[in-house]
Amino acid sequence: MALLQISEPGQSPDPHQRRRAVGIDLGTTNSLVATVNGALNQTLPDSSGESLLPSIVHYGQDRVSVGRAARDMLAEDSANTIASAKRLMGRGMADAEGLPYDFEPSKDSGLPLFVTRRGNMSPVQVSAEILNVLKSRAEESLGGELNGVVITVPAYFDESQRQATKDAASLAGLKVMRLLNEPTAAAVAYGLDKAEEGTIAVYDLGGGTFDISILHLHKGVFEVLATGGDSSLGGDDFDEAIANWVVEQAGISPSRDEMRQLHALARQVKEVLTEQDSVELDFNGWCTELTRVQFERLIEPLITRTIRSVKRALRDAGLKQDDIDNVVLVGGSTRVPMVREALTSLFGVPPLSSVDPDKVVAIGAAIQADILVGNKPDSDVLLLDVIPLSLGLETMGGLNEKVIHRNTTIPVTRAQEFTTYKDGQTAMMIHVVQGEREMVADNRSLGRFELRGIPPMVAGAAHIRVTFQVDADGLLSVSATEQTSGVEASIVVKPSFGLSDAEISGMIKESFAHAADDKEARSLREMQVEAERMLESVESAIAIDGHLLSEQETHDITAALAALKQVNVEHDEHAIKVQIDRVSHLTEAFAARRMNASIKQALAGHNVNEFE
Amino acid sequence: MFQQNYFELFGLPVQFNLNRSDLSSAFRQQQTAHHPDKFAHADDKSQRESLQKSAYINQAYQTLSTPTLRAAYLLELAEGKERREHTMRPDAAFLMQQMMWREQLEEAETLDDIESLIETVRSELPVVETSFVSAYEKQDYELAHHAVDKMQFVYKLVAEAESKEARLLDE
Repeated sequence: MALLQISEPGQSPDPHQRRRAVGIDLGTTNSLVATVNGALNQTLPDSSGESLLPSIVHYGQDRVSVGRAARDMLAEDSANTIASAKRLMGRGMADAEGLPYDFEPSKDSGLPLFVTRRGNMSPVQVSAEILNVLKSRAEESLGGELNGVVITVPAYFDESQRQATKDAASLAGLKVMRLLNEPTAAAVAYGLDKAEEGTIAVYDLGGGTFDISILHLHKGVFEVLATGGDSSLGGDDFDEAIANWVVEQAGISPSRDEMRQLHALARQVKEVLTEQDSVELDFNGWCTELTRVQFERLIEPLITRTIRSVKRALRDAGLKQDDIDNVVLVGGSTRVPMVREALTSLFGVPPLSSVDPDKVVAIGAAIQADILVGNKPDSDVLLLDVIPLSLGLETMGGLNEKVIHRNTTIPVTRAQEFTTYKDGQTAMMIHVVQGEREMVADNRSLGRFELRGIPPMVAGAAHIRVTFQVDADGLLSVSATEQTSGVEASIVVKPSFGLSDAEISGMIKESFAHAADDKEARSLREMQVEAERMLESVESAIAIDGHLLSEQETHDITAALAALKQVNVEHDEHAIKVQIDRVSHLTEAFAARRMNASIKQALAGHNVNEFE
Repeated sequence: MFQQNYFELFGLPVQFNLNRSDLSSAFRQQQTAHHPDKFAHADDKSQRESLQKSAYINQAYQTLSTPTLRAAYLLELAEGKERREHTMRPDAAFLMQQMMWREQLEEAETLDDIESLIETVRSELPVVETSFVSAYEKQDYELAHHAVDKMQFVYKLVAEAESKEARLLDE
């Protein structure tokens, strides 16, 4: 144990001792760690001078390796070499399908585990290995234990993905001060937070995904206005386009190995064409020239797709192209000149490019970490983020009742009151869902919990207040309280089962496309629920107080109920409504008689004074 | 803080018309003082308090910056939480107008059609807002609720028209 140092009075050893803080970009393809060193923001390299750590983990016979060493094992020992674990963070078995690994569901949670020779590994464990390497790198470079870190996540990451990222960090022994959205980090890296006011588009074209975010900032306060993107579009598709062109031009049908070589070649070609107007290429003796003009013709449809997403995000934010003051580029694929040209012509300003697009996110995270750890007490920078997808509850009939809408600024607390459906109901299932669609089945299920011990009351009399709270990291907790009795239950949302990123962005798109269908389905379903409620309450009233009815009345009501049951299984909203009105009309007198009878009963044997 | 109503929180007069930039700057000032990022290194209790305060500020800001929510909130303050159930006399002229607009939206086929409809519907907003303000000031809350309903309808229709426009643009 180190001895405690005591300095001479009035002479502390270093009054300006900086706390050690770093920013980490935990990427799908590469990860980085960066720090603020005096006025200099820098990524930290490994011993051979490389800042980019490939996000790949190899589980070998004797040791676990991470980064380039692991990447070298990809071909040789692919089953034990895990790449792109980020895609499965907080995701379910269904999302693991189609990935080139063996999976087993976890016994506790049902979440997918990679089967490796060193045992089953969760995506959280794999990510923790990567974080561990970055942590040691940072501690060596900064000369001691870290006081805190900021880790970046995609803006569209949902609850379980954020929670999984935090879990990986604690597994690696890191103290996470904040999860930061990647686009916000990129804007911070450009010092845009120091601008008086502005609107920023962050265009992030990675290897396999495209994300666009629109941010507004005013005197150091950031607000995310909208996010969007395409999770199946990235720089790899540029390579693919070149590779397919070669296959077509050369008239060959390459083997899988040749195709892999061809992709590697295509990647080089793409990089050369960033600098030059044309390139000679030689694929196993077949030679040709590819000009930048030809290359651009190949990738034009892909770039058009990204521009369409950009326009959609602008619309979501309620903005026009010329409202954008700055465009920030993230991801190596944004080096392609055509991307920059397309953005320049769309927005009328050239995108910012002075910070390396591979490092910009990590550097922004480092700047924020430096502030949060307390090294800049006078900073007035404040990042206000939003939730990417709406959060709601399942109500009767499988409907999604949204409690917090997407793009709401966090942290946020919102409460909504619900009630019981049946007489004497003492428990309630609270099902928390995430997504934009009207029917629960079309959204993502985040978790369920039960509220028990509700005192028995007539249907509709209980007041159950359900409170959603999303903290500044975007993590959700839900609690429910019955107001009259005070019984409570709650959950913190943990990964349960999941959807792929593609499904998330797909869900948003579909919610637009299905808005009309959904509304019809919803209103029919609401009518059916209303019918069920009516059947339930009239039947139970007859069972208890049937003696208050004449024979004729009983006959009429029973017949009307039967008719209601009949129409309720048919999908005719109007017919159901007509029948509900009929039952309601027939039972009006009955309801009044029941009310009188119960008041009489309640008063029997009591003095009026007792009620004062 | 939690005893203050949203207008008091931001130091604004309790009324429908407000200065957007006063609201935004008061919001930012409050968040700068209470946001969890300012308490990342504080003890658990301060962190919890900051989370609750920051959420309350966000809620207040959203309510006041959205005209329909702001109008409904004013009525809630005026009438108390136990709002009387107003027996609403339907406004026949406005119902006709709604049906006409809905039909126009359904029939709209070109971007121009939709844009001109959006413009027409939007131009109704200042009228409805003025009628809210005058009803609210005269404490005719029934009429004021009517105006809020109209406002909601207008915003909803504009949103629907814009999403139809977005679909056309994507095709």
